[in-house]
Amino acid sequence: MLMSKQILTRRDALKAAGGTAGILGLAGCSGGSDGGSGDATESSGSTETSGSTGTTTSSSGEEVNAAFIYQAEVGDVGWDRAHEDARQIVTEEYDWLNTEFSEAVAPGDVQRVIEQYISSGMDVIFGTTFGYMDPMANMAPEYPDTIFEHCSGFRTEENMGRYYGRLYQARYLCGVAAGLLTETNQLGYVAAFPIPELIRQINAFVEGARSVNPDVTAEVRWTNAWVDPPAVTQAVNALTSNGADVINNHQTTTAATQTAAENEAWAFTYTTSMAEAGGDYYGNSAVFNWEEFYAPTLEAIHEGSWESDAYWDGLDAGVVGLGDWGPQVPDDVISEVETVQEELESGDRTVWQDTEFEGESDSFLFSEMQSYVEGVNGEVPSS
Amino acid sequence: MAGAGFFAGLANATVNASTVLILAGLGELISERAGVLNLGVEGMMLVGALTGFITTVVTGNYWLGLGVAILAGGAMSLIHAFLCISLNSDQAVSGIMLTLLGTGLTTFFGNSYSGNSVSGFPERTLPLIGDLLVEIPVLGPALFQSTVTDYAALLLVPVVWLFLYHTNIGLELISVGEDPETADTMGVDVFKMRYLAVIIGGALAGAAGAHLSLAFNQIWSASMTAGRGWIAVALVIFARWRPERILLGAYLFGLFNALQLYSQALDFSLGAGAPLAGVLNPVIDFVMNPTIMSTYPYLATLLVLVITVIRAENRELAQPSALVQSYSRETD
Repeated sequence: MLMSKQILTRRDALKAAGGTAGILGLAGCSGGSDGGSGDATESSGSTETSGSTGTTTSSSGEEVNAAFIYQAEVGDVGWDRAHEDARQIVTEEYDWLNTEFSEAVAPGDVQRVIEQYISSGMDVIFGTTFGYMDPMANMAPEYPDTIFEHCSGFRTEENMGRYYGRLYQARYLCGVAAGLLTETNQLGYVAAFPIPELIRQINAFVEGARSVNPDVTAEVRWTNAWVDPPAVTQAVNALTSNGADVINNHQTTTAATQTAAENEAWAFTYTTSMAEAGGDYYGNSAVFNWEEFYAPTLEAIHEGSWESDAYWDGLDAGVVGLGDWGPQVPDDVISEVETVQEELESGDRTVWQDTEFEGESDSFLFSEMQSYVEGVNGEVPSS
Repeated sequence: MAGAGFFAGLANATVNASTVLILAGLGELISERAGVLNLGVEGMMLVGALTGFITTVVTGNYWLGLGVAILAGGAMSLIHAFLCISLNSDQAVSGIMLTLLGTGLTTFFGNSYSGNSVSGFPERTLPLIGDLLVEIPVLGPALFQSTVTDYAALLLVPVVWLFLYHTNIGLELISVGEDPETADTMGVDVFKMRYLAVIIGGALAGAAGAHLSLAFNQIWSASMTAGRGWIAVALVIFARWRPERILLGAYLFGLFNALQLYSQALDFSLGAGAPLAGVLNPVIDFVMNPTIMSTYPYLATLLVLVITVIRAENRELAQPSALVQSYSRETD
């Protein structure tokens, strides 16, 4: 509902305008009329941009205009922050690239936002949440001259690719560190919903730990919400009171990291660094470096060689990795993890070797993993 | 496998989960007792959580944060009061609009604060006798090693009870919710009383939000109330508009909230050889499924509604007679 938009070349001036548009849009929605005022502000912003840069865009293709759409407000940490960081990196890097972004776009509103971007001359639309998949795939045939790229889904079209990162490989590395750090040999994991994506990351974390410490077992608590800090805190308390001294989590909040630290348990997390919340007990974070995907993709679009594909790269491409280590993580743990990382990147080791999932296809790993590996207590709840 | 440690953890988690419900639930109760339904609790909680958090980040003083949150919640409820009491607008629409407004505004203005943490209310034992009380098995640490907001919520239950039933102003407030016309005839200022009740309700919702962002979690995260404002509304129905039952209901809601997370590690299924294992185990799996468990407080609320309707002749168990009814003075 709340929608703001920023144009990088005039970031500061338009930040205020975007905010005003967001509030006006919100007020409009609450009052029952559509957020027309917000739209008007955006259109004028877009027109200005194409006026200053866009004269050669359509004819020679020298410039690339890219739009990024996020489901939530970007904030300081989390999923959308990782994409936004990458957008800023590629925008700085290429002088032929113009980018715009919209945040807090609900899946129900995304079609309207995309249509507006297309009419303002965008060459490529990056949609970064699962809920955009169907709207984007349905729109792609209607707009054959626009390139669509959707993150985290599975549908593709001739002019729509999908992309994702093998974050589970970075979770595995966090697991290696966790296996070396734990004294109780019990790990805890707070997860949101029992879907393959989360189960895969839990399994990889535990496999990493057991690769260096076969005595490790893990417990999982499902909160059934993507953002519910009080429930996360309660789940971490439950895990640490059962003896877990390393906590990993999958919720877009720093609550798990903070509560783990309060209970003197090592905290690992994901998408972006959350070092501040973990303090001395911060381990590391499995992070996305989306620029490693966006840069080659935008270059391909720039050269006219882009083709629709299903991108799912990992550590070797750098699209996933680890963040900075916490202040108290011992050097020998770090160097051991670095060794394992090299083995994974070179292919000498795989995450799933010696497990029931060894040799499974990417499509199984991506969308069908529904059970825990050995070492995780209990069973995946039926969702 | 479930030992004393398990129950101590469960008790602690139950008490922790209850405070926010007690605060918001008492506020909603006071408002509804005066005849005004407030469905904006969730939005007011969010506004309280964010304003309290920002104030604490800026000033470093969590008491000031709590104060600002209470004021912000009260100020927001003033909109509800003006729309519903002065303009006789639809109470349900106004409340839902305020929840949407609160959610949107806090998401927007809280954006740059998400991921920040703050040092808020510390856990304290009661002075002098605190350490002894904490020694009490299972319940000791849960009840007597808490934050000030936890204690304040517990203390508010008898305070609200005394206020409603044993002060003139409280009885006038109840009379306004039961029969505003008669109350008016008897010289009670219906409008003033309803304004007061709605503002107290909003202030307590703001305090509930501040408890989340300053005592329980000490972070700001958009939508961090995660529906607890709606639980508070259900809680008032469950408690049948009685403050002492708010406490009971909040603990019950909190217990299910905690049980849902704490029971996940336990295996309740019968062994393969046990009689009826094939029939009972799927039932147990369903009943103990975390998602199903989180619906139990609402099922209990429905059950209470049914019982209340069946026993409708007993007026004191039912809702205030003038709830959701706007009042305008007859002019002649």
